[in-house]
This record gives sequence, C-alpha cells and structure tokens, in this order.
Amino acid sequence: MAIEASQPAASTLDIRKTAMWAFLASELMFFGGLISTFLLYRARTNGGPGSEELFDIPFTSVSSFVLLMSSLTMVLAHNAWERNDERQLRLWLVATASLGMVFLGGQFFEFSTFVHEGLKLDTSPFGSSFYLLTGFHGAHVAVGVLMLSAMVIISYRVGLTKARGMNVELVALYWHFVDIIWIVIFTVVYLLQV
Amino acid sequence: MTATTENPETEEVQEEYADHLSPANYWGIALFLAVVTAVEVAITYIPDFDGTVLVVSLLVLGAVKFLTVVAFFMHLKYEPFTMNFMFYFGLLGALALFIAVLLAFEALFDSF
Repeated sequence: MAIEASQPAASTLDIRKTAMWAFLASELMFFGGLISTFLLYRARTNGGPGSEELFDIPFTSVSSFVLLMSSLTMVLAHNAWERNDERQLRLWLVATASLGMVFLGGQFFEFSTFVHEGLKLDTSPFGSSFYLLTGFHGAHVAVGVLMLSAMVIISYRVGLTKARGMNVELVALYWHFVDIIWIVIFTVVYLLQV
Repeated sequence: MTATTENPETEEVQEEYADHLSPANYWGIALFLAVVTAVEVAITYIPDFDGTVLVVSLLVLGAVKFLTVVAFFMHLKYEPFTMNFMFYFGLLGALALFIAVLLAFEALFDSF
C-alpha cells in the first residue's frame, strides 16, 4: 500500500533506536579505552606542566554545568516533540545547540590556555592522552551541534513528523551520551587529579 | 503558534511516551544534577576530606549523575530489556577494559 511504503513501520523505528543504543555501547568502550590511557600516562609529564598546575576547576565546573543544562534543554525538546509542539521543539533544539557551542568555546579557551602554559600535544604522554581524550569528546559535541542544527532546519523546511521525529529521539540519545561521558571525564580526569 | 495536529499518528506517539516525565519533573532532575555537581566540586576544596574517602565520594556522586541522566533523560528505564542489556553490557565492557588495562600496567591503585 502507498501509505505503508511512505511511512517506516514501527518495527523499523525500533531497530533504528536499538542500533543507536548498540552504537552508544560501543562508544562507551571507546571512551573507556581513552580514559584508561589518560590514567596510565597522567603522571608522565616529561618535565612539562601537569594537571595540578594547569586545571582550573571553577572554570571546568561552569563548562560542566553548561553541558548538564544542555541535557535538560534536549529532554525538553524531546518532550515538546512528544506533545507535537513544533514551536517549543525548535526553541529547545536551538537552546541545546547554543549551550553546546558555549561548551566548545570553553574547551577552545582551555586548550589555548594550556598551550600558552606549555602543554602541547607532543609535550608529554600526559599532554597527548589529555588532548586525545578531551579532543575526541569535543569532536563528539561538535557533531552533536551539527545534528541539532540539521534538526532545526528540517523542522522549518518539512516539519518533524513521527517518521522524521525518530531522528529527534536519536539525536537526543546521542546528545545525552555526550553529557554522560563528560560526567565521567569531569570526575575522573579533572576532580580526581587535582 | 503551537502546532497541535490531531491525527492517529500523533495519538500513537503520545500514547507510546505517556509514561515519560513532565517538563516540571525534568527541571527538578536538572536541579538535582546541578546540586550534586556543586557538592562534587565543594568536597575537593575541603582540606581534611581527601584520600580514599574523597575518591570514593567523587566516584559515587559521578555514578549517581551518570545513572540519573541515563534513566530519566535518556529514558532507558522505560525501554525494553534488549536496549537496557545492550547499554549496560557496553558499560560493563568499558569497566572491564578500564580495569584490565590498568591492572596490566600495575597502575589501578595509583590512578586516583
């Protein structure tokens, strides 16, 4: 039937969500490897600056708060989609992308400060593992911001119906995942090392 | 203007997510997460609060935040067993990898 051909069946949507959870599980192991590597090399500074000299906990706490609040705006966007409230959906998607960009700006500032203070990618194993871990997380945030922006554009151009709305749910899962990885990084890499 | 299209598709979506929390609940959870983060940062500044107690406290508080976001913001508690199994299997895999790598390099207890 024409209607069946134009709309994905419920089982197809469930498979997409299941695939996203499987992808996130594999990402957990990816970041698990990067965090383990950082902990192995955290004390090998080769005479360069280490975590105690570099880390600015109040600044990173604000960044963490921003990312945490972006999870709130993302879940509010998802809730608006559940209620079929497209205006609220767009508002919260834009808010989430904006908070993501604030976080990325903070990370850029932090990296610039660290480089200025003598920690470059090749300064020491500590520097390499730190930039690799937080850089990969930042790249994930950047991808998330792009996906959120795409959602806003799709919403304006064709609307986010149930068939396309699953994309809101998948993007929301990805965004919350980026947040939970930062929760681990903030605790293990920052708070426990100073 | 709020779009409130009434069609079977919309009703199906609303029914599927009927057990999810309300926006007010989400604000409450976000406040809880913010308070836990503030406590995490605060305890690192308490001079006598260090060593094993500090490490365990920070790991427990971090785990509480992690699981709260997963359960309520990612709605995993409302998902079928398959998705829960998949995610927690990945989490256990990550923890196993973490412990194995640090044990292999005899660095597990020096890492914190």
